Amino acid sequence: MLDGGSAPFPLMEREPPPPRPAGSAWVRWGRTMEEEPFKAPPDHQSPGQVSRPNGLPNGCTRATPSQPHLSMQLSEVRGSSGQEGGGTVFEACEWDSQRGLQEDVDKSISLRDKDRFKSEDLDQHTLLELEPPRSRSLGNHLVEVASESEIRKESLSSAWEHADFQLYLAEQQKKLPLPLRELMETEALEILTKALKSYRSKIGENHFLTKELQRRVEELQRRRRLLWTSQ
Amino acid sequence: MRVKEGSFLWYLYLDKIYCLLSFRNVKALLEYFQLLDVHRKNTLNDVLFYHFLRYVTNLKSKQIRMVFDMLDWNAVGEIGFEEFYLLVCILLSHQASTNYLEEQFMYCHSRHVFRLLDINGEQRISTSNFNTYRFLFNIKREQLREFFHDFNTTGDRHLNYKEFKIYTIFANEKSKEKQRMEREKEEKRKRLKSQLKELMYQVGVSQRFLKNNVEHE
Repeated sequence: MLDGGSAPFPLMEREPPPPRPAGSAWVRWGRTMEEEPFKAPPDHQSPGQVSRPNGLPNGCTRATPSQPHLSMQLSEVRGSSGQEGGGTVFEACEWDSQRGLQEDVDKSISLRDKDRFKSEDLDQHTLLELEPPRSRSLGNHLVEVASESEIRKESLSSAWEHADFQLYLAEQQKKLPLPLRELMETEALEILTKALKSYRSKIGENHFLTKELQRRVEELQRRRRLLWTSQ
Repeated sequence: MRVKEGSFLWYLYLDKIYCLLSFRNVKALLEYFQLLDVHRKNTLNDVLFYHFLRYVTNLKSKQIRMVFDMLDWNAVGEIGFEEFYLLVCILLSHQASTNYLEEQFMYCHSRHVFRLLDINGEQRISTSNFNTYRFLFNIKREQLREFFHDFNTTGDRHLNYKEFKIYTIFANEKSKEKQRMEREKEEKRKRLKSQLKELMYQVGVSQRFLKNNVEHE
């Protein structure tokens, strides 16, 4: 910067200090996001979910989108990442992690299909079982196989939810929180509106810089209006 | 100089040890900078810069112009993101919530601060320049006088980098000592308060006990 060569202000990330009590519900975004990015809600175990001692997978929230929308989310994620072009290292890493997750999900889908096929076979077996059992060992074996498939189904569904949740997390971590974005835009709008008045008084209304600034201000105002009407 | 409460910068957080923003904070700051960069040149001109500082701080117009001239080190009439980031770190070091990190900031980034204050590019800071820009780091006039008296070893009323570095070390130590003493004072006051409360409670209990005894008799 000052000597035109080196990077004088290395961006270093340290462990943040312990949190102070917040005056409002959302204070010091940078610190709160780093120390407690996702606060865990009270325990609420869904069936088939892998539970940890703290009752949460990886200490994260349980706000997972419903499964039928998974494919739409994946395409959205892919589409949005594609549009942005992965210009930064940060985005490239995010995209890699999402692709890895997608591969996991695909594997789990194919495993589920195989399992369904196996369960169909099982049904045939169970049909056969309606005949009096020939030996107890065959019955036991079938029970074991049935329970194994159930366990596999449960683990698949939990893996599915886990993958779901990972995608959601990755998406959220890319974006700024909405309140912060709103505050940023409101503030920028006020600053730019005052700057526009200065431009008009100093260089006139017809100058291309004034017009450029005016367009930007109008764009921001339009965005604010859309946000208010949607709320 | 202080940041306006409730503004966007007020919500950013300066690391206490390195006096820098975290990666996430920088990302947010970059988005904010891009919102203000209406002409898409990755820079802010003097008008945009002026209105930005006027909005987020309590600096006067003259001080804002001085800050702009200081940051516009190559005199192109524009400020890039790196200078903007440096300025934001300086502004945030004044926050009460971060325990006033001005001395710590000067100590951690002494080279950059020295280059900022070396307006003429002479590799030394004159008394007048330092006096002009002392508001940036919340340095009082008496402190500055003392500082030049104690640390200007060459006696030419100009500080070279070494003298400046020694000053930052001493100022940082002094500030930490002051904060430690204030903390101890506060703790002592709290302890006394709790002891007083305890005493009042015991007095109250014994009074009630005596009253009950008298009533029974």
